[in-house]
Amino acid sequence: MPNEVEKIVLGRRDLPNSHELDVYLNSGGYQGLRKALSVNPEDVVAQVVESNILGRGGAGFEAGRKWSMLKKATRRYLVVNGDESEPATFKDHFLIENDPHQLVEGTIIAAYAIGASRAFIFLRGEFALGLERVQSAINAAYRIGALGRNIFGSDFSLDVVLHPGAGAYICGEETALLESLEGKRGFPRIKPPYFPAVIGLYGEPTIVNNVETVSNLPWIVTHGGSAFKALGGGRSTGTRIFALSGQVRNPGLYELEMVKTSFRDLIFSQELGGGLRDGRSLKAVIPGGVSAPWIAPDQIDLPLGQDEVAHAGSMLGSGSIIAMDDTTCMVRAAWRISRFFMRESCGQCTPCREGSSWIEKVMARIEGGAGREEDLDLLMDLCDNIVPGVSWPPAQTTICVLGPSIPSSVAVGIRMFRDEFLTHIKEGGCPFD
Amino acid sequence: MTDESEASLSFVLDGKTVTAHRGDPLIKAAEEAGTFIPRFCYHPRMKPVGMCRMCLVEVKGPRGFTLQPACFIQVAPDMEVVTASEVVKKAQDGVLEYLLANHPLDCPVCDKGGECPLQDQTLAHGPGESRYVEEKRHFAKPISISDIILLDRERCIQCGRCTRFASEVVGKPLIDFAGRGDHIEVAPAPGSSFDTYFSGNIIQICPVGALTSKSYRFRARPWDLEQSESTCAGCALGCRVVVQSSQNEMTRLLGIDSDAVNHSWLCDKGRFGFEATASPNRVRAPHIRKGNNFVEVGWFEALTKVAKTLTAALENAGANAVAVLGGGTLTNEDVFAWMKLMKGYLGVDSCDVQMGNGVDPRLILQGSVATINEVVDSRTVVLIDADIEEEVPVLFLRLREAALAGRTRVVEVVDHLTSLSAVASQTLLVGDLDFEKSLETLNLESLAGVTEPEFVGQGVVFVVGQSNVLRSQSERSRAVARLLRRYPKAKILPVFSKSNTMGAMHLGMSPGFLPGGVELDSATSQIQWPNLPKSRGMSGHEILQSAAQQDLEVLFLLGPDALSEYPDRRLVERALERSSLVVAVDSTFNEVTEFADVVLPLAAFGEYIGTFTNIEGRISPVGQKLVPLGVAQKGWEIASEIAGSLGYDLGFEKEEDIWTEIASVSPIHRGFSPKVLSKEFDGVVLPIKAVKVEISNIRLLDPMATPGIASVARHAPPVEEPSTIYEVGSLSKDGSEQLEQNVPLQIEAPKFIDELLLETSSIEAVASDGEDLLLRLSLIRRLYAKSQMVIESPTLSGLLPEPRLRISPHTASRIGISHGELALIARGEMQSGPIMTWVTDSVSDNVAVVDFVDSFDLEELGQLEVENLVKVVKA
Repeated sequence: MPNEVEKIVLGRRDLPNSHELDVYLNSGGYQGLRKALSVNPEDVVAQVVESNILGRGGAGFEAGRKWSMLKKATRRYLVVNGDESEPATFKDHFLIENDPHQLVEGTIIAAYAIGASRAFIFLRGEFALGLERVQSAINAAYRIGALGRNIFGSDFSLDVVLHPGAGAYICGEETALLESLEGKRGFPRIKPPYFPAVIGLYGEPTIVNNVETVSNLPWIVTHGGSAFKALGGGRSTGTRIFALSGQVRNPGLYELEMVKTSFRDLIFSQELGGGLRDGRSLKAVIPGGVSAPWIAPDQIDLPLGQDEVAHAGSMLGSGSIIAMDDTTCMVRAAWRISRFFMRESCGQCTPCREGSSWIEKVMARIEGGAGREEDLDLLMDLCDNIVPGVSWPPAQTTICVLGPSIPSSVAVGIRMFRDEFLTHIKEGGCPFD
Repeated sequence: MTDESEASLSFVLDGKTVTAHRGDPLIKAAEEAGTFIPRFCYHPRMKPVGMCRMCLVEVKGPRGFTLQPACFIQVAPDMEVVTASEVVKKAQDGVLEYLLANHPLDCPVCDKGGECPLQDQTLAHGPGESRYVEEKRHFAKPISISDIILLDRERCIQCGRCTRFASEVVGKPLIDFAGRGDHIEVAPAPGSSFDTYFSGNIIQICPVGALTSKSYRFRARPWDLEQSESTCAGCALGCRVVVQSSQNEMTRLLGIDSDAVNHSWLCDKGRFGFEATASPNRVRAPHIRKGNNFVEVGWFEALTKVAKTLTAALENAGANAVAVLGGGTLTNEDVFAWMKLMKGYLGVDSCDVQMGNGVDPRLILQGSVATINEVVDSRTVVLIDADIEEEVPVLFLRLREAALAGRTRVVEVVDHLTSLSAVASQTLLVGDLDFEKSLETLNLESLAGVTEPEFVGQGVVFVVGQSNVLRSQSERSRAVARLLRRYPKAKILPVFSKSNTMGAMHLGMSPGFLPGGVELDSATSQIQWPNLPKSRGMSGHEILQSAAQQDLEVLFLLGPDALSEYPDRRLVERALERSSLVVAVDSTFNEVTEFADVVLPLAAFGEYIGTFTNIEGRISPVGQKLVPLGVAQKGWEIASEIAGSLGYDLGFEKEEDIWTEIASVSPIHRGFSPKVLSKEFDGVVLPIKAVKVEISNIRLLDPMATPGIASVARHAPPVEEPSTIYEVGSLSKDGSEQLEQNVPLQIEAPKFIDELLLETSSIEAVASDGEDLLLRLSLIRRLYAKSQMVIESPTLSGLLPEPRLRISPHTASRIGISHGELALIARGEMQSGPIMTWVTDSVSDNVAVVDFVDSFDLEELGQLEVENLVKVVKA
């Protein structure tokens, strides 16, 4: 029976005042850092490689391997990405506000491991409380000697700078984030050659890690990489926070062992999602944030694993799972998602800037009752101009992956629910209104 | 050649193995191999950004073929590239359709229609019908982003060429993107406008009609325009341009991408100065003064009057009673004809293109002059009294690029901080020190790491500017000579403000010189003119003084702005009033023609054909697009007419005749002919070396940087004609062996340096004026000053700056004046009008630096051998 077994990152969820330093110290806080400092940075990297933790930001790349790819240089930077801004994604938000010390400790461990003497935590500007709490946690870390010169008496010195974002979703894209951090407009850089591990912040090799990834580090260092790897299955090791939303009885955050649980368990288990509200039936599931293609009710026995979802033609992404019941208008759902990307396109490259806007306008027209049957072919072709072949994993004509995020829901919506689109067109309006 | 494998590589383009230059972007490599990849945001003179996505092609990588922007990736050995697959075509068509989605399609009224890459590429690749039925994006249109430029944001395709030009090329990010998604727009920074000397370039590089100039907007259709290649007359850099006209009216100037000179950029003075040709103040016919009135007369009457007075003056008072000033804005052909008349038939040597505040002709004629490319490739460039952006603006862009790229260290010795100071390794402010002495302190060995081996080949270039118009020719030249003695292998680049001062000096328009830098006393049998001057004549400054003392009978003012370089208005006015006959050969009525007795109408820019010689000694063609206004004539024609009235025949029927004679009498022009010039895209640098010159007929112009020059037809692979190799010497009548003898090759410090240093400084300090603080006055050149190109051009005339007085905070507190207050500059009994004070760290203590926008009424200001000390008082 699936349940929330051992907590790794959400361990302090039920502790009152978990954001305060003494609560943190009394619950094992900074033990991971002390242990890390007692060994060589290479040993810390080895533990993280051993753990095989996959990046929690969405792309799911092995964090240890990313670290090992960092170009040798005298100056290296660590940047922690806390610009979580996608609809229905709220795991980092919770960690930032409720366990800021764990985030700071993880940041220090990561910086020690990669040999950075300066780290930046880039938080979404709208996280007012989170910014306050992370800054307090940084201040506290300086106070207790966990930051600054000669951390805990070691040779390692580090400064951490907290940087609030200025309100753009695109700055969650790591290279746009670096541009923004440098004080420029948040335009993503072109890869190659601008892989942050090679040419990153201020042109120096830089590691960009997600908040949840970093928050796992104190536990991994304390318990060892193999303890982490013992959880989960296949390439998807350890536990992971799933942000469940949609028309379920118990939406919220669930830290679950990866692969051991299925979408069905998460949504329907009484201990977890508790099933759909009002006994409705399931229509579709968004398995990993709104840029992921939807999966159908007959696919929900898929385990919550990185490769498993990828094989089924979608992605686990940021771990944001949205269950949609039969009261959901799928045209409206796809339109809303396309509207989000239209508003958040940075405008740098043509297919994303113009494509997102055109697609949104056609979707709005169909939902509003002014659709034409040929609009469905038009939409698929507009998607094809951003993602040639409209395939998964997507090829792209754009600079960054915001572009390929646009067609996912629209194309899969048309493929899975063509009849519903046609009903909108034939009836001249939304049947769910 | 360098090792082939170092410089080139081969890659696979659409199944064929082709070679490319290592480090080139794929888009350029493919183009050189004959495959044009469509593009909008790529510009060969700026860093690629890969934004528009039009140049997507398939490149094979570890995960098979993927779409990559060809502008952004460098070509690599054995790279496999596919540019013509279905996938590529679909992606490019998709991008094009997206670009058109929000584009207003107001092509019928758009200035760009007919020369628009978006239109051309739609024609070539796009669908006939639009699938876009939604409401298009709307913006208020057009908005003004500067005094010159309008922005239509609906037409903008967000390629970022203009914003990148501003930040990357000029270094002034005054425009940037605002907003996001499909509401992204180019906008000036809040509260500011796009004010730079280079603003017009963004119009030229805009791939659509989003950026237009207020003067050209709705004036012409591109397909109605005729064009000819020409050389800009705005300053002495000689930027290569095309002049476009419609119905005997010039409509616009565009920069040509000349690798040797201007890299396609122009300054706004150059780009819009041609408007002066259409000024209502143009002189349409000869005028002579009768009593207090100016009356229009025929050529015959005017010429007769000139000839009569001239003959009488020469008979009664001799050759020293006649003088010629100006000439820096005339063509080489004009100057030569005038010199042949003056020095060859009338024996008049008092001809000077400079006004005593320039440089000694020996530095130019006998020294080793660097090319612009040598300057920007040299390890160290020393800017001496040079404010490059104000004097020769496009060289500022090139030097700034070189300095930022780390190729060149810039050292400045100037009176005030300049716009290059920010990228200079060191700036030495002259302050109230003696100029020569402050240059003595310049230690290049320690300052810029100059070590001996660098003196060979690409070493040091001294750029000799004329930023301070109060600095005398002898002071400036002695200082440079002193430096040349210390660094004998260094080259110099003189900076002049007029388009052909260099050419005029080459052709003998300096006292004591004949064409080709031949000194008067050493005149050889090469110059077979009947009546060469008996003795050395007066310099420009001496001519004015002589006239002011009523010793001059006839004064010729040649061409526009003949006296604009001269700071002392009182001396100019006295000189003009006291000459018996002032003949102004000019295109417009102006402050100087007010004093003339005869005004002869001169053809203006665009109305004559000929050549200019720029500051590096590069001869380039000046094209004619218009018929001269009224009965105006070209400069050389007027000289021939005057000669005819005197009973002489200069022997010139057309411009080619003049060149035949120049090439035969001038050693530095030997081997030159219009035929040689016609084969050289970038002009010909003097002296012509007797070496084989290889000319490639393939020129890669940016089709979007040079609209009108390259239309869609140019997108096809260039037709490769065999490269011609010709030997310059073989084209010369005299044969190439003789030619080689005439090319001076100097390694040791030449003789003229010692001669210059023998001349002692004549500067005397003015006695201290009681208790008052005396400041050394610098009058510094501004690009927009009272030259005819500026004040007669509707676009530019409003940009004339209010002169400001710059003083240091310390000086200001000693005088008791604050920033923004009005001050008076006083000298002797006279004082200037009120002038705004600017208290700034950009000048030293005890100096007063004033913008030179117009001449001044200050006592003895023009006495350049006297130190220019002034009092500054609160107005």
